[in-house]
Amino acid sequence: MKFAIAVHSSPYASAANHRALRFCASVLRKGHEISRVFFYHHGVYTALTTQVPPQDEANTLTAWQTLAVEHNIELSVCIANALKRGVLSETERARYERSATTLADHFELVGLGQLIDAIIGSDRYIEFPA
Amino acid sequence: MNKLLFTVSRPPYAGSAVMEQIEAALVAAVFDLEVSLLFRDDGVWALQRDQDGTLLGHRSVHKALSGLGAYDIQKIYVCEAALAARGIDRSDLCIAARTLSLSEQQTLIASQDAVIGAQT
Amino acid sequence: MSLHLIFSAAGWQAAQDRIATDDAVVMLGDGVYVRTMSKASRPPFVMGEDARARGLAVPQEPYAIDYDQLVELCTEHFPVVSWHD
Repeated sequence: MKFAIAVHSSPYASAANHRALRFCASVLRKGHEISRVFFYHHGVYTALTTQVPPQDEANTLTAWQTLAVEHNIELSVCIANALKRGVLSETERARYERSATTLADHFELVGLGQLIDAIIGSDRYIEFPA
Repeated sequence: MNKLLFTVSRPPYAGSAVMEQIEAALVAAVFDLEVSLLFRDDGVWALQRDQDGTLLGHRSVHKALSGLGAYDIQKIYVCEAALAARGIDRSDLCIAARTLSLSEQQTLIASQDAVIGAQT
Repeated sequence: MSLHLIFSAAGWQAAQDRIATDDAVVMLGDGVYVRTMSKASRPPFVMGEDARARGLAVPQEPYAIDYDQLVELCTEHFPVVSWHD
C-alpha cells in the first residue's frame, strides 16, 4: 500500500513529528511505500536548517533527513506556508532578497498541488496534527 | 483516491490555519476531484457575513470563500448543531452551504477517500 | 469502515458524534487522557507508548498497540481520519 503522510505541527509544539517518524518507520518495516511526507501549516518549521535541539533530546531534523536518504523518501514542504514563516530555499532567498537560506537539506519546497497529487496517487492519507 | 473532504473547525482569525485550509481546497478543485468542505464547531464562524480581516492585518476569510464558486466547489456543508449552538442564522452566512446533522456528517466522512483538516 | 485517530480530548469531543458503530478508534498523544467514552460502542485502541510516557495504565491486549499495529489498522480501514481540535 502507498501512504501519503502529512505533518501539521512543528517539532516543539507537539509530538507530531515524533509520531510521524515512528509511523513512517513502521510503514516501511511492514513492506509498504511512502509516496510523500508533506509538511503543512506549522509543520514547515520542521525543515528549518538552523534548529539546535538540546543534546539530550531527539533530533527531529536529522531523523527526517536520515529517513529521506536511506529510503529515498520525498520530504515536501508547502511553499506558501513556508515562505510566510521564513523557511526559504536558496532560490527563494535570492528571489525575496533575504539574508539566509533556511531550508534544510533533503527537504524541498513544493506547491499544494504536490500534496493533492500525492493523495490522489496513494491508498491512504494519514494526517499528524499533533 | 479522488474524494477529498476539507474540514474547518477553528474560528477564522485564530492564526492562519483556516485561510490555509481554504487555499488547499481551492488547489484541490483545480484537479479533477470531488471536493467537499465541512464547517463545524467554531469553524462555522468562518462563514459569518461582513467580516473585515484587514482590521487585523489579514485577508478576509469570507472573501476567500467566495472563490469557491469560481472553482466550481459546490459541496459546501455546515454543521447544523454548531450553527444552533452559536445562535447563527442561515441568513448570517456569506455563502450558500447545506446544513448537515451529525449523522449526515458521519455519512459524509465515511464516504470520503481522504479527510484533510486536523488543526493544531 | 473508518479508522479515527484521536489526538486530544477536544478531538474526541468532536469525533464521538460523527463516527459509525463499526468504526475503529485509536487514542494517541493526549487522547490517551480520555477516560470516559460513553458514546463509543467498543473499547478504543490505545497507543501504548503514549500511555506509558504519561504514567497511565496501558489497556490489556489487544487494545494497547504500537506503530506497527497502527499501520495494520490503517490498511484494514478506510478512510483514516485524524481529530485534534
